[in-house]
Amino acid sequence: MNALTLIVLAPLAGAIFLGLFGGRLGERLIGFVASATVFISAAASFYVFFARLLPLPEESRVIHDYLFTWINVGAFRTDAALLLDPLSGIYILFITFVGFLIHVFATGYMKGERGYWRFFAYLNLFMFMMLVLVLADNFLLMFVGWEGVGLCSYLLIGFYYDKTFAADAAKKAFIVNRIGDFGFALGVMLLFLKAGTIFYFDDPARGIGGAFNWAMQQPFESLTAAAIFGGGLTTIAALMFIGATGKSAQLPLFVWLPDAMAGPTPVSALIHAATMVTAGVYMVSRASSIFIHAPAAMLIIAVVGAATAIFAATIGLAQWDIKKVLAYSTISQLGYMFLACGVGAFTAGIFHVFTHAFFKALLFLGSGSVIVALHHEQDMRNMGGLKKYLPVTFWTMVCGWLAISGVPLFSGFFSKDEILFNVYSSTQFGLVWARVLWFVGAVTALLTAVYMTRLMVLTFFGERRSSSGHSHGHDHSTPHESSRAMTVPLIILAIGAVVVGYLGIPEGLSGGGIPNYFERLLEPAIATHAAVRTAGNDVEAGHSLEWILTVVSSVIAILGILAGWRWFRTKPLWEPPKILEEKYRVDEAYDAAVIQPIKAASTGLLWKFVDVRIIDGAVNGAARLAAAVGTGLRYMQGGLARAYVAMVVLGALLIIGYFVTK
Amino acid sequence: MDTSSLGISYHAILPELITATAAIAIMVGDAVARKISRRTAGLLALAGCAGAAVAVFSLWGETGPAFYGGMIINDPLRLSFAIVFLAVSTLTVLISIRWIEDEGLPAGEYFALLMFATTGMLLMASANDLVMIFLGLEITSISTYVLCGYRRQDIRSNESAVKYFILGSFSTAFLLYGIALIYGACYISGAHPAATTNLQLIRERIADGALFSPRMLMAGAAMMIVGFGFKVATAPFHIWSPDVYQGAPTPVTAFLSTGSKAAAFASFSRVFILTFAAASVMGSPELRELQSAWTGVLAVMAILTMTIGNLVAIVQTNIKRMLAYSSIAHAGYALMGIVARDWQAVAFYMIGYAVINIGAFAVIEAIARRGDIRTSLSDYSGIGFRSLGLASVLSLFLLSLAGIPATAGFVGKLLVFKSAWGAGFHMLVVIAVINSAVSWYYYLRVIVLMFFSEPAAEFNPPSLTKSLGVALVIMAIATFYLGLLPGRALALLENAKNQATMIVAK
Repeated sequence: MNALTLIVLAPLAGAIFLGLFGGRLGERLIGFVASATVFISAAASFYVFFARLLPLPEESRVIHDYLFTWINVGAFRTDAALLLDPLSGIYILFITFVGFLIHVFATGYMKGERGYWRFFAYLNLFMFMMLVLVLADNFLLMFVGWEGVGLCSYLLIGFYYDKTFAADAAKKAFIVNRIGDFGFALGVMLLFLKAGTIFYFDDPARGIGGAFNWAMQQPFESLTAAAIFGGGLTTIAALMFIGATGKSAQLPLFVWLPDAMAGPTPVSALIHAATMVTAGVYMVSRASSIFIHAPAAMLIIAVVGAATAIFAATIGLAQWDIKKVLAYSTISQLGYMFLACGVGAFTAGIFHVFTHAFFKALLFLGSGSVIVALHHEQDMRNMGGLKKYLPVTFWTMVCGWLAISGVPLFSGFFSKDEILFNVYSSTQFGLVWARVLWFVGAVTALLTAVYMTRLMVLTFFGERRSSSGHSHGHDHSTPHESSRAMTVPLIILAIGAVVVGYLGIPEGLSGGGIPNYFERLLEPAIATHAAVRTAGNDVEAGHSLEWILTVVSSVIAILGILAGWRWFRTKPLWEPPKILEEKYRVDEAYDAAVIQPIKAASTGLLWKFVDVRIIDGAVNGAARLAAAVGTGLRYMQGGLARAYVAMVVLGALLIIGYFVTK
Repeated sequence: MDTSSLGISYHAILPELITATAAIAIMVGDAVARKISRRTAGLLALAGCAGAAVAVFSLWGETGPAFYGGMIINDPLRLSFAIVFLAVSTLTVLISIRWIEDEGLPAGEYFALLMFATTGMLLMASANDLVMIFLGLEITSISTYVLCGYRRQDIRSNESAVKYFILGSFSTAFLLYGIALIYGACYISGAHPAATTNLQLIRERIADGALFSPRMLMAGAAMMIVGFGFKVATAPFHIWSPDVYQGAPTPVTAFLSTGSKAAAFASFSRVFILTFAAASVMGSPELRELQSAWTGVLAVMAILTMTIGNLVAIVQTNIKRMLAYSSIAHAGYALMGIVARDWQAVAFYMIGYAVINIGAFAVIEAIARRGDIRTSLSDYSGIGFRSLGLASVLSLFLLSLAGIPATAGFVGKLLVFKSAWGAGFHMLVVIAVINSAVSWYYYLRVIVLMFFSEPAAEFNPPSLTKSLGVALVIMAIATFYLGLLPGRALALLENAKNQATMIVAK
């Protein structure tokens, strides 16, 4: 047991404490306990990562923390054990850091809400589960965290449980995620059947073998549809990716995330933007040694990622609810991350997870600040001109806006650029795929800049539009800037949104002078193979290509912002195409294609036939049978003690008769 | 005859002594102090359970010859089941304190009776003689007859007590007759003693084939199945239990459906697994015939029990009655362990079942309120989010009853199913698995009602007292502990098994 345990257990202690005693404590103390436990976790994470992990030689940067052997039956073994390597290290750094800021923000945001303690107990529990997910050293423990964050997400989406839409959204998230989790569980089971272990890596000290070490010795499977159903690595990878589509809201399982915005805004920032939804990317990167051997699964990931990215971006263009815009934006950005993973650029994907955690948390918290200032108004049609009322919120959100749009020198620029470069120069699916996927990514980048500009213009610029209900020009309540607890986290996140990108300056931009620090850091934890590292063959050509693409994506970002600015400054209330505003009617399609048939089948078949005919029939039949047996015994009726006695006698006679005559 | 040959050892019966002392202390305290306070009575009872548990652990591993002229034995079976009983009693006391308070009933007699019942159960497990088993069973039964009717004003409670008493005494008669027949069957002219109720001697005589009348032995064994089967509530002797469970006060129902059953299973194990079964492939033809007869009959009874329990549970509209049928079904699963002659599996099953079933009844009691008013299933619709804590733990217990992995219920089922499969009762396991699947329907229905239905008219979330809260937390943790980390408990039982085989081998 070492400091890793502390990282995980601190938030759990907070959750237990708040769950047991929170109801009797004041808001200040609750907020303090919740934030302090996450702070401890963050401090421990920084300490372990920088003081313990980094000093280790590059190729052996792994810290194990074995707690106890959980299950050990025959060949199957699972430990409760934690593992820190650069990949999980990056994750715990931003989870605890951003998580801490969001906890602090939430102490201000949730002020005066009913169930304040419950909220923070859940939030701390979420941190615990998320850290278990990331720090687990085997798939089963990861699955525990995976399900745990799902549960917390469910509880927090349904936090306003007396509102029907919140309860429905919680249910939807829960059910949709079960579909994905089923795939994940099947994938892990198949992995165990094939590899005989569900640990990630070998650990001679405990005498366990690792699935990844096994996977690295397997041959590459073919890029064919047959491989997907072949029952080998490709099948494992495809099943696992189904889990990722659920948790990380990809096509076709993305439908729960927009509805999840029914939860309080800090929840949206923490769970549904910065941390939990990126668990799918984590899982795929963690299992990179499996995925690189499964090119067919990789192509699926890349295509699903690209399709989700552009699909969600177009919907984001047409939403009026400020949080819905950010929700679709999140789905779109997650698509980007999967696109990167799909072409084998796992480090680029993780880098985008990292920068995205900062700027998307910032944007969500900023929107939360706006929502609070406007007394829980979320419709952007009723906003506008808030720049002068909420200066801190405005300026910090400007940082987030420029970062997500990919404006040069902001964090999103570096990570997005890295992804587009890797997609463009990938070779394993052939040139056509590389160009098509790149093109989709580039268009998505343009759309991102446009819809984010629209969000900013509608919210902060122009004239103030108040809701139609009370349309007197001078609104009686001028919006006020939020409290310190909310603005300070915004400022810190804004700084992060600007600077964290510099950790991963693409090698080409500096002419190879500065190696990409982020990539170097992650290298040992991520499996790559030759086909992916195209630029490696011809360094010079790679660098010049990188320059060209960087210029292209800079132009795209600035073009998008300018177009959005010109268009929405003049026509802020421009009605977008109906089909976009209605989100391509996917929910309705699912309702018609899946939910209604199931309902019909369950009433028609299960209830009317199986339940009424078979089960009820059997039950009634049993009752009738019992009655028939009882006709001989006249008093055999429910409730009469003498009938019961008769029954006992009958049974006794049967048994005694059997014994004696045997 | 000096005392040492009698085998008098106060240490050997220390657990029973402590619980009996606690019971007497509560009664005397109640009489002397006019009315003993609920808290004091409850604490005394808890202290009794804790002290007895300490005594049980002090006896662990100290297996020796029988004590008190062969009446009492200290072996792994006794100690394992003693832990089950003490866990049941502790949890029952914890969930009773609030109930007694709400109902405004005298606490002294209640807790005293509970401790007497516990003493009886402990004796049933430590008995090495049919007469001792009978004594233990009667001490338990008489205490629980009274407890069932403890809500004197309530006609349902009265009905429950009277039915239990009438049917209980009737079945006790079978048991007693069975004991008498076995006593006679083991008569050997000129031996000392000529006839016996001592289980060790009975086993030896059956194994040697030196019996007065094998047929008499068979008849006696059959009658004992009736007597124990009644206590366990296996079909067709289950018929009393739904009425009694529904009418009895909820904490008493929890106690009956777990403790009383576990005690009968302990005796089942003692008499049938350890006495009426061959320790090895050798053995007299009488013994083999007896063994094949009772395993066959019990296998059929297990099938009947679980099937009837589950099917009838589906159509119930009252949650207590539903759980009564569920309890019948669970007795069927546990009986599989007896059939497979694996009492360790039964002991684990019963402790897991005790935790989750008492847990479920504790929540039901909290929601039912004074006078058992809200026990209809429709009272549970939509309460999920109004009373999230209670609804969540109830869901946990119900899922565990259904046998969801990672909980105590799953591991218990897994163990008995595994034993039965290993012993060659494949059909039995298949039927049990189907039954288990059927049972999901009615357990999940409650959860669906709570979380996915429109809320019932008026529902005020019940406030929890400290004792009930503590009990619920303990039971929820135990449910997960036994489900996730059963290793330690299983190792303890495995250890016990090795000792047991050593003793039998001797």
